[in-house]
Amino acid sequence: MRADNPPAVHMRNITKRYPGGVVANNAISLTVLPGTAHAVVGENGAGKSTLMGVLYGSVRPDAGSIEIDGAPVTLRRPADAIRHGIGLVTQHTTMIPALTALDNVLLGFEPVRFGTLDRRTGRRRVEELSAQAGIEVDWLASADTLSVAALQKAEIVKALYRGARVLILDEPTATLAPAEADRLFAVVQGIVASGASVLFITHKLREVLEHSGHVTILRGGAKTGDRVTSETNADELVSLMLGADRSAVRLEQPQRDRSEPSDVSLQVRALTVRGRGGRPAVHSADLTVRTGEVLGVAGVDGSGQRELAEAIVGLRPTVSGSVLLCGEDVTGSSVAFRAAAGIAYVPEDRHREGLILDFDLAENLLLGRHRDASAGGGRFLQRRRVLADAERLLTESGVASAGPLSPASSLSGGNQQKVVVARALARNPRALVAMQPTRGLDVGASAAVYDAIRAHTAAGMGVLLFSLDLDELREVSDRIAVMYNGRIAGVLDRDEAGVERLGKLMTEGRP
Amino acid sequence: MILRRLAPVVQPLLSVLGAFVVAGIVVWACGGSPFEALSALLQGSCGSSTGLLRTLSKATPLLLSGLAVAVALRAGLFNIGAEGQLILGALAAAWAGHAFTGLPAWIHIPICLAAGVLVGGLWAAIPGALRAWRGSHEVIVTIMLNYLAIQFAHFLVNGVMKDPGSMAPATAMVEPSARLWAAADGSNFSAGFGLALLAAVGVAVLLRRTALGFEIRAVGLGADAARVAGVNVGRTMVSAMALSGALAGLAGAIEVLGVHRRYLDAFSPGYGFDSIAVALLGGGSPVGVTLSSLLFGGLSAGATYMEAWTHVPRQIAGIVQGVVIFSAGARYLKGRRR
Amino acid sequence: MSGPELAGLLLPLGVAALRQATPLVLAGLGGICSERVGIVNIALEGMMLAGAFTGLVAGRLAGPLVGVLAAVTVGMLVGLTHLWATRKLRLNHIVSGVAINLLALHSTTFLLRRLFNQADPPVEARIESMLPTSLFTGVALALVLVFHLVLYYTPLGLRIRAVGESEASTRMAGVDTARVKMLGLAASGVLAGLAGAYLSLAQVGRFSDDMVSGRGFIALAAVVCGRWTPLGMAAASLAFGALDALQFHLQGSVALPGELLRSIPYIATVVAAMALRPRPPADLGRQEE
Repeated sequence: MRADNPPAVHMRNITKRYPGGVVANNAISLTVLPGTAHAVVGENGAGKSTLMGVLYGSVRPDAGSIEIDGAPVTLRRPADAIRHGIGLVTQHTTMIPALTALDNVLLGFEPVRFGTLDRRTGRRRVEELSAQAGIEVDWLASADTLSVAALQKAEIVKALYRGARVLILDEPTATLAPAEADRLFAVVQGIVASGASVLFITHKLREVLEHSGHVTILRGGAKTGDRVTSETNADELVSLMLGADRSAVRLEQPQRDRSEPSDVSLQVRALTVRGRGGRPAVHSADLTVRTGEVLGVAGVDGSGQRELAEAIVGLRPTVSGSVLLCGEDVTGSSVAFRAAAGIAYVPEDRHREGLILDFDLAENLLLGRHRDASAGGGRFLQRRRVLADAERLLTESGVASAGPLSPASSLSGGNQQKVVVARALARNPRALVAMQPTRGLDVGASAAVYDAIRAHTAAGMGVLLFSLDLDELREVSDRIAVMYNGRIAGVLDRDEAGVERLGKLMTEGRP
Repeated sequence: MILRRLAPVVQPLLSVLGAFVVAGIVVWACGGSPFEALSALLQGSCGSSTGLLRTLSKATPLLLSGLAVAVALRAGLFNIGAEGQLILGALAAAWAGHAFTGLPAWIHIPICLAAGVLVGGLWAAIPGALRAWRGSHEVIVTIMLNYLAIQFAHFLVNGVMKDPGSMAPATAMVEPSARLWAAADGSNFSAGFGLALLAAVGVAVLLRRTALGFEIRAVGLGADAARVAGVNVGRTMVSAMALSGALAGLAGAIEVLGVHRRYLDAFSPGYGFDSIAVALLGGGSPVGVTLSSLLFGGLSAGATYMEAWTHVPRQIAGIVQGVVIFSAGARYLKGRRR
Repeated sequence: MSGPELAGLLLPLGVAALRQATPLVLAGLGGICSERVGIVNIALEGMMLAGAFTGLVAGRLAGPLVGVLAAVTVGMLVGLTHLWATRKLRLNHIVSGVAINLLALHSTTFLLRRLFNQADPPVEARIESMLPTSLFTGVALALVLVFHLVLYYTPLGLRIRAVGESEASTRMAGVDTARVKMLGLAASGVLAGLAGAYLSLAQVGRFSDDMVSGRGFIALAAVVCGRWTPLGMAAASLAFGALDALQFHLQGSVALPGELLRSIPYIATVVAAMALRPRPPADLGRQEE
């Protein structure tokens, strides 16, 4: 360790409060040494992304100071951070779809020749950098044609092109297949070897232990520890991440009698669906969800999960094939018809697709059932009945709120998701299609969501559960289907679905 | 807490006050006396029973077209086309008013109103349908349809629909059986004001108490969530626009049956555009729209009087409107949702 | 019809088309400047009106060139007002545009009466020394080319296009997006003001109530029909200008009603919006969080 060199980054006592009183960062300090890979771990909501936003100048801290290479700096906007050699690769790409990958990289730091944009010089420099980092991207392709993995690589080159000496990667492997993640960490090692630092955020302990030199652990907006990775272990990290009291909490799969599955709840036959831009996203998919069963669907992000789910619930037209609910063909019928017939849906993005944030809770719970007399709906709404129904659902699902007339925006993320799930289950559906229903939730809220779902599976509801989190899938599913490139690459029983086997199916499409 | 409760009332009042201050400064800067102008304005709009009735009569088309813009706004759509829908509604009512003869008033008047409602609604359904199913922006389309409606009406009243006995580009007078009751004091106050109030109540019930109203509000506040929950977003958009156009068409029909008794080319001084200010100041709610239409009706009634007595050009009322939109619009409809 | 005869018919028609298209091209470039940085601009109409009025008033006092200067200055201020209202007051872009149009219409008619002490129609103010229309036409056509080159072949153009597609991503890339937007809206106002000055100082030599009479909206229509590109917008403007010229030419001579010809740009725009499904810049109209 070159103790005489100043740290590449030294953040002191960073505090950030959001309007509404949430303290995202409470006096957090962080030191990153030059030439190291430094992991920042913590659960969702621990304050990782806020801390990185502060370092990149996109989040203004309320208190605290930052030094880069020993000199104090003020980072008011990303441009300041870039000037000081900070680069950020966000979880969701910032590459602009309408521009080419090259233009995206050059944007803001354009080489100029006679007053015009010198794309030739720019391209030469970009190709130099990507060759050094072992990255290959089709630079002249428009960004909307690149894969998630390619966009991420382009983002890394974009940061390097801006002269990044400290590269921040925010949950870089969240949307990558295991093999792609390994390739990414090879790139990271190359960058570290060149003397720059990489700061990566994750909640996967394996990545921390295998790929970082140092690790900082956050919990609930505060720092709970700094460790040299070689001197710590998974157990210690878990207790620092979750707190000693909560480290025992796991998603317990209740013992269930593995009697022979009986009827079919939801069936998908040879379904082909087009995705964005008319490209086929799902090819001839066959799936059968039995009553009372959770069928998990694994796959690299963007393998056609979203399109498949939307086609099943009626949000996306199908090219060919059919969707059957308890043997009844519902292909081609509307979302409302399928919902009434018994297909419930928990969408991926609860703020945009799940809830109407400016509606109150009663209205949100009524949405979709507003033509349903039993919920107080109908051509004319029965206000008293709507409120009573909402009151009942809120109590049953344990939503912490100020009553059915409080706006959905006033709830925490976990409680919002409980509302979404409560609404989906309110009609006692025969099948549930759920897209990452616990993404971004803490352990307690996740457990509540699965408890609610289980109460209905016990009564015979079949569940099609889409998730990117293999651990979660293996815990809650009876069987796991794997999607690869829009096809169902295989369906494994829970007992035979090891991570390696799943990973191989996810990345190669073959067992 | 109390302050937050009162905000929906206080904010519009402040924007109106601010607008009056700005207008006062303009009058003063141009060498007039703002206080003299204001007192003339008040005298003209509510200083006499005729003045009051004139205020209500000016408020009538503003209330209806303001409701039209508000209903579309609640669905997240900008209906800039109320003017065109109003013009075509008026034309249809005028046609039904003189084409049918020998009907009793209780049949003839509803027929004429229905003609206006129908034509206005259909005309507005076009941008609604284009938005819902082709993704064309309703603002661009409604602006274009305004000009088309103006040209089309101009063409008709200078041609086939022109009253041969009249010099002016206008249709024939409507039958007496198609005329709404109106005050005889020259205030142009007619039974149309009552119809407009009824429409406001109807819109309030629709938005708060019916499934269609619920769908309209859901689409306006969260189209994606509504779609996922099974609401047919496209159909709701078309319904909202058709409803919006129907209200604007009704405004036009009432102007014909209650005030002009015929379709007169370029009769609308831009009610359809003023209605945007009315709807925004009223916060898109029927009660708010009613109050703000009374305010702008009074402004319009008083401004003519003020111009006659103080030589301050009546266009100052338009300046007040512009400033009101700036300050009242700030709290409503932040950004567009796609 | 012989060649010379045809030329004798078409030449004046072509010249008239260019005269009608010039303000559309100028204002249309203004529309592109604004919408390409993400701000919906239905305020072109009001900006033109403000420019036309100021241009005439200043032109009467200090000569037409000073008038043009005053017109572009006021246009720029109106453009920046639109930016301020949408960014700082967080107004919906359409609301701000409607307010600006109303304010421009009513304050010009108000001031026209006040400054020129007129009450009776027709209310108008005249100017004796006019500028040649060809000057404006030449400038407009040259600017189309310049804008095309800037937009696609310079760093500034890349930044403008990026801001219109995603301001958040562009800021993350290290670009001062506030400056790009300010530049866009200032340019938008300057160009629309110039278009207004053309109307009052070069084309007719007077100002009368609502004299822009919808040309700002037609310019916006040309922007949409031209898919937010300078060349496409210019082509649409020329087509609209030609229709306008044709309508003047045919007035009274054929049974074709003028209303129909005048309606063609509106119909064309609705059809274009329907059939071409033009894709606007992705961030157009978005309010920042």
